[in-house]
Amino acid sequence: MTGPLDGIRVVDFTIAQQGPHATKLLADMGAEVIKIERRQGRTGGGEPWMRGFVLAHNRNKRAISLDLKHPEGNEIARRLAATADVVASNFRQGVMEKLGLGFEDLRRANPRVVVVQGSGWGPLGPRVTEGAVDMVGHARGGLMWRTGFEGRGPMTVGCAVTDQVGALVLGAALLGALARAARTGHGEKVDTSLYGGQVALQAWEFAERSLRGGGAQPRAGTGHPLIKGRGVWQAFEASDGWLAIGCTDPSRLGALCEVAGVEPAAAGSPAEAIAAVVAGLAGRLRGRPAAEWVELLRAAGIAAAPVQRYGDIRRDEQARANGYLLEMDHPEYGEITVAGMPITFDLEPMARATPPPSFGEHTERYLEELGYGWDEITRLRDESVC
Amino acid sequence: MSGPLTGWRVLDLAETQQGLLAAKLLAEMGADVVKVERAGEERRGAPVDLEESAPSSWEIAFDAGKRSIAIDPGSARATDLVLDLVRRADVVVAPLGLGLLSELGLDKERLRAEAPRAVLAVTSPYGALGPLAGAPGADITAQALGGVMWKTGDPDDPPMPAGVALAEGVGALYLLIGTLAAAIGAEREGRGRRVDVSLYGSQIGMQSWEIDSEWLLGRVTERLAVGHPDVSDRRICHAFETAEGWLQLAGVLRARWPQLCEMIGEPEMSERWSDEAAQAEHIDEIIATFGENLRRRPVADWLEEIERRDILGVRVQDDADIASDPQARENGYVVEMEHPQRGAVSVAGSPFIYDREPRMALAPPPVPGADADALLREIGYTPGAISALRAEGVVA
Repeated sequence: MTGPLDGIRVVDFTIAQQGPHATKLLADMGAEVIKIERRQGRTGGGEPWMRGFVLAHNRNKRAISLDLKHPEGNEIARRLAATADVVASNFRQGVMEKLGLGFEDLRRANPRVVVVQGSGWGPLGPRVTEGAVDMVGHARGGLMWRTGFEGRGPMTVGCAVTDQVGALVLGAALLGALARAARTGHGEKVDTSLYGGQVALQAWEFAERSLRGGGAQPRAGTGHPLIKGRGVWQAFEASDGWLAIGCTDPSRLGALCEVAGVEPAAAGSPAEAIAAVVAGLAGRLRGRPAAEWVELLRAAGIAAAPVQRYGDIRRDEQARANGYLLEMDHPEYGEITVAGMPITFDLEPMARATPPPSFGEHTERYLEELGYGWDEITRLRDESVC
Repeated sequence: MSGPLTGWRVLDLAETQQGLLAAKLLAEMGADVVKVERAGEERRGAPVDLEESAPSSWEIAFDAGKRSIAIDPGSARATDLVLDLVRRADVVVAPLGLGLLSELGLDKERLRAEAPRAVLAVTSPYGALGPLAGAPGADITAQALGGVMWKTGDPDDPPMPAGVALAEGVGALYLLIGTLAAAIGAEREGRGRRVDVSLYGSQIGMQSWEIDSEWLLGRVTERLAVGHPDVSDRRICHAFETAEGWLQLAGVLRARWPQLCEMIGEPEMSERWSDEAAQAEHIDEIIATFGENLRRRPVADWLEEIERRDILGVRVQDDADIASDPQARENGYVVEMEHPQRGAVSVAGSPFIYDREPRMALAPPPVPGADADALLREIGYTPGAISALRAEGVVA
C-alpha cells in the first residue's frame, strides 16, 4: 500500500511534542521524515518514564544526529534542507534564522520548499519570543477554564491536548502549503502556534460569547456549556461502571425515556423537562450493567457508549478493525501494541509501523547520499559533528 | 486575500461539526467551499439562537466563509445538478453513508467514477469499519470510548468531558490533514483517495503518548483535576489559586527548579529536594508549599516575577481575557466578523499564518441557498435553465 505522501521528503528539526507528532503523521502517510537530532539528545530520550513519549511521536521516521552550531554540522543540515519538500521546526522564534536555516536562506537554495514554524504564541505580537509547553498553552488558551465545574478551580483535560491540537494545526498548515507547491512549484512559510490551535478549537463557544455580549463564562461541568438544557449529554453511573449518552434531538427523548423506563416530564420548559429526564436516568441506569444499557440505547438509535479506560481500548474490536491500534516489532520492547493511525485511506487501515529509529540511526546513510566519503564521515563522527 | 488553496474547490455535504469545521478550515486556507444543503431544512446541529433570523454561533463557527446552494433531494434533476458540482470538486466532504448524496441515489462508486481525481473525505462517530460502523454516536460518546473522559477530573468526580466538543474538533483536524495529504497525492498521481476519520479514532490518536506510555510501562496513572497525569506526579506542573486569578506553572524544565523555589520564597527547598527522584517522592508537600505561598499575591505580580526568571508560567485565561489579548489579536487568532444583524463580533480566526500575514475574518455564514444563481452560472447553466430549476423547485 502506498501513502499519499510517498516521495515527499521532510527535514524535521522539531522538538517536544507539537512538531514531532505532526511529522509522525506525515511519516504514517508515506513521507520520508528525517529527524534531525541534536547531539545532546532527543526529548525524553534518556528517561525511562518518557519511553512512551519517544515511541508515540517518532515511528516510521529516519534520524540523523548533528551539531547544528558546528560549521560542518550546520552545512550538512543546510545541504539536506536543500533536498527537502518541507522543513519543519518549533524552536523559539529566531533560532532557525540564527542557524542560517531561516525561510529566506532555505528558499534561495530550494524555491519549492515549504517551511513550517511552530511556536507557543504565534509569529507576531508581544509574546513572540516567550517559550511554551503544553500546560501553559492549555491555561492561556481558555480550555482549562472551560473544563470543570462552576465554583471550582481550572481543570485540565486528562492528556496533553494542547500539544496535540498544536501538532494537528501544524501538520494541516504545512500540507496546505504543500498542496499549493504541488500546483505551482513554489514554497512558502507558514506559522502556527499552540495558542492559535486552542482558540480555533473553541470557535463555537467563542462565537456564542460574542453574540451574547460577554458575561461570565459558563463552565462545562459534566456536559457541554452550549448543550446544557438542550439535551441529555453526560456520563451516568451504571451498576458496574459508567456510560455516556448524547441525545440532543428532542424527537429522540421519548425513545430514550422508554428504553430507560423514565417517565417523560409532562409540563415545564424544555430545560426543566431535560433536567427531569436526567434525574430519572441517573436513578434508573444504576440498575443494570453499562454494556446492557449501551446495547439497548444504540438499538433505539441513541448515541451511547461505555466510558472506557485505555485497557478497554486495547481490547476493543472497533478500534482494532479501523487501525486505531497497531502492532510494532520493537528491537528493545519486542512485539507491542501502540495507538494507531486515525486517518484511513481507501478503507485500508494501517496495520503495522516501523519503530522509532535509534538515536541518529541513519546519519551515515544520509551523509553518503550528500556525497560524503567514509573517511570524512569517520572524521565527522570522531569530532562529534554528527 | 489569498491562501494556499486559492482555486481549490470543496463540496461540503457534512452534517456534523467534524466535517463542517474541516471544510471551514479549508476555507481559511483559501478554498472555495460550497455547502450543499436541503432546501427548507434547519441546519443540523444549529441550536436555537437569540434571534431566529440571524446566523447562530454554530453557523458562525462552522459555516463561515462558505457559499451555499439549497436543493430538493426529492426532485430527479437534483442528482444531475449535484453531479455537475461533484465533477469540478477537488474535495467532497460527507458523512459515512454519504447523507444527502445517498438520498440523491449516489454512492461512493458513482462518485469515484464521476470524479476520479476528487478526494472523498468521510466523517463518522466510530469508523467506517468494525461492528460499530453504523452505530449512532456523538462527541460525548466518542470522548467516553476514547478514554479521555476517564482521565479528566478529580478521582472523586464522575467521568468528565473536555470543556469543548473535543472529539469533533480533533476529528476535524485529523480529517483536514488526511484530506490535504490525499489532495497532494491526487496532484502527483492523478487519482483521488477516500479518507476516513472518526471521532473515536481521533481521541485515540490524540492520546498517543499517554496510551503508549500506559501500555508500554504498565503504569496506570491517577486522574488529576490539574496537571498532566504523566508529568505532575514528579514536577511542578499545576494551576494554583493566587490572591486574584489562577496561575499555571509548568516547571518541566528541571534547570529552573532553583528559580521556582526562590520565587516563592522557599530557596532552601530546591536544595532539600534537588533531584527528580526526591521531588517526585515529596511532590504533595511541594505542591502544598507552592499553594500556600502563591496565594499571598495576585497573579499579575507573579507573572512579573516569572518574566524576570525565565520560568514558564501564565494566567489561566477565560474567554474575556483571550478576546482582549493583544497576542491573540495580532496573530489573527481572534478577529472581527461582520455579522449581518449585530455588526462586528469577535470570533475565532485562522490558526494558519501564511507568509506572516494573519487572515482577516471569513465572510459571515451564507443564508441557505444564497449562492445558487452564481454557482449555477459558473458551471455553465443558462439564465433560462436556472429559472426552470427554480420553477420546478429543484433549487430553492
